[in-house]
Amino acid sequence: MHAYDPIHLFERAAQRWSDRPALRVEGRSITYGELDAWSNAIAERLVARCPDAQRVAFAAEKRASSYASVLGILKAGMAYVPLPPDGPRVRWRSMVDLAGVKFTVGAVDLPGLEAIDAAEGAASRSTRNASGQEAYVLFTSGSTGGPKGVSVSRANVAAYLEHQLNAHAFTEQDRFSQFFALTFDLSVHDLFICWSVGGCLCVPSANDLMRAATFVREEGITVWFSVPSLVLLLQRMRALPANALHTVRLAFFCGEPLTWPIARAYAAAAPEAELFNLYGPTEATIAITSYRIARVALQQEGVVPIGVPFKDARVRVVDDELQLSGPQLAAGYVGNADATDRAFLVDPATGERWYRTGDHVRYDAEENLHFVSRLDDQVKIMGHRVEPAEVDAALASLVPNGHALTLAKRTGDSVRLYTFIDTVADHSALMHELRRTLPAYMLPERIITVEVMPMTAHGKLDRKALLALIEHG
Amino acid sequence: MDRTELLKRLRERLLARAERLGLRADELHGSLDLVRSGLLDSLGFVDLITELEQELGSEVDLAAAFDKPGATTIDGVIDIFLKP
Repeated sequence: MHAYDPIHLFERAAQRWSDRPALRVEGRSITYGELDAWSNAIAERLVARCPDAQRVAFAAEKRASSYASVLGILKAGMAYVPLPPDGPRVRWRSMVDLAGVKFTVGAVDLPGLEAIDAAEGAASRSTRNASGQEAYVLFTSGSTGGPKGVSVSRANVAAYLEHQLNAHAFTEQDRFSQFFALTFDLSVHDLFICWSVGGCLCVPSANDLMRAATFVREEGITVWFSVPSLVLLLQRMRALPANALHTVRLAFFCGEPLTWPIARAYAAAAPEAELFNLYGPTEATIAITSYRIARVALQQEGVVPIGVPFKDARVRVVDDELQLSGPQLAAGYVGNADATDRAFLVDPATGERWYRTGDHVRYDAEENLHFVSRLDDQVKIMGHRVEPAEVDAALASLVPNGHALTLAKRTGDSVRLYTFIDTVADHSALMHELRRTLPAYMLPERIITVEVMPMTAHGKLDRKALLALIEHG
Repeated sequence: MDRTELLKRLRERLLARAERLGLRADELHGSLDLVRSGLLDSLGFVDLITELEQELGSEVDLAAAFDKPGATTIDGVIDIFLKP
């Protein structure tokens, strides 16, 4: 078994710090001993009821039972598939079908699935040891319509933990923020870095996101991890005065480009914090490059570099595109061999697998990588990867006599989607239908009807002309 | 300004976006959560509060406002301004 296997590390911490708090959620504290026993009970029920299940889903609400479920499913040697709590049921259905899920921990509002009890209980020890197997399947937006499920193994997660636990001095005194949704792989950092070192994982309630600075002070958060957008939100809410986050000693950002002004605002609010900008797609497990932000460098403008690769990661830049290889590389997309073949290349000379990130990057004189832009249409909305073409695919059956084209437009700090259709339709009815199939962050700001899609002299869709229409109402 | 007047202004402000999202006017009731429903994202929500502050000429303590549950519902927004 890998020395940094997440369950191995959790169980070691649970033995050593049995009476220390592992989790603060829903207004209560749960010790390592209690969480270990609870997750053992879930694992035992899973093995008894569905010993051959490979993947098990749960509704990824920020509740104590969700954290026990993650551990319980992994302890049973199965992979977890978190379903976004506010996600449309149509989307849950495609996730469950793609991943071949038949069982859930806790009841889930979707027919045809069998629920295993998530209630607290006690079982003496974990029932199976399953290093090297799949850890989770997490879904991202797909350009050909419908979400894509990335299959990540426990060995992938172990490689991430090995690097980060050696790169930073986390201790059992640390209190970790858990801002990320459990449907985001960045949450895996929160859970398993914390539980590897005996720290306490502090889970904000839904409202706490809007009052994150107060949450940090109340819980005495020492390790912060969020998308840069959360800092921007706090800044807009006038909740980031100097010293507002004085308890934080380590702050990580990931999920979207971090700008120097955001880093500066954060650094002023958290004077004791060491700041790191992380980068990595779900396909390369959580994060794979890191940049340490020196306080003397904070007066810059523009975007913070994404830094240097982790120790065992392999990176190369081919035609401006960043490609990744090494022990954090995921197996591919579940039930979608075509998408896997397109995104994961096999080097014919070495047999090595490489993931094409689609990110245009460059090196600076200090060998730091900089994110420049996307090579395709993908955008980030509050850290969510969004393929505008997925909106088009969702509309295809709704506008059978026309075309739909969704474009992203950046205004100030925010990115919004606009959908153009070349046929007459009831926009309100279309939006109503889209709300049934797409998550809220993927809904277009507006649908705009054009008589014909404008073309450039080269016979390509004229995106500039379409985007200009937005300003003219 | 009283509750009824503020609710009216808020609904006027949200109606166009609600219609684009396929929500009916009568779905814009007090307990509707503006962020969870997808009507606004969290940044859009803060922008809404900032615009209302300018319109009403009053500055609210946003951090304190979110200490109360349900701050992102329509009733919650009204409370931010009427019960500071």
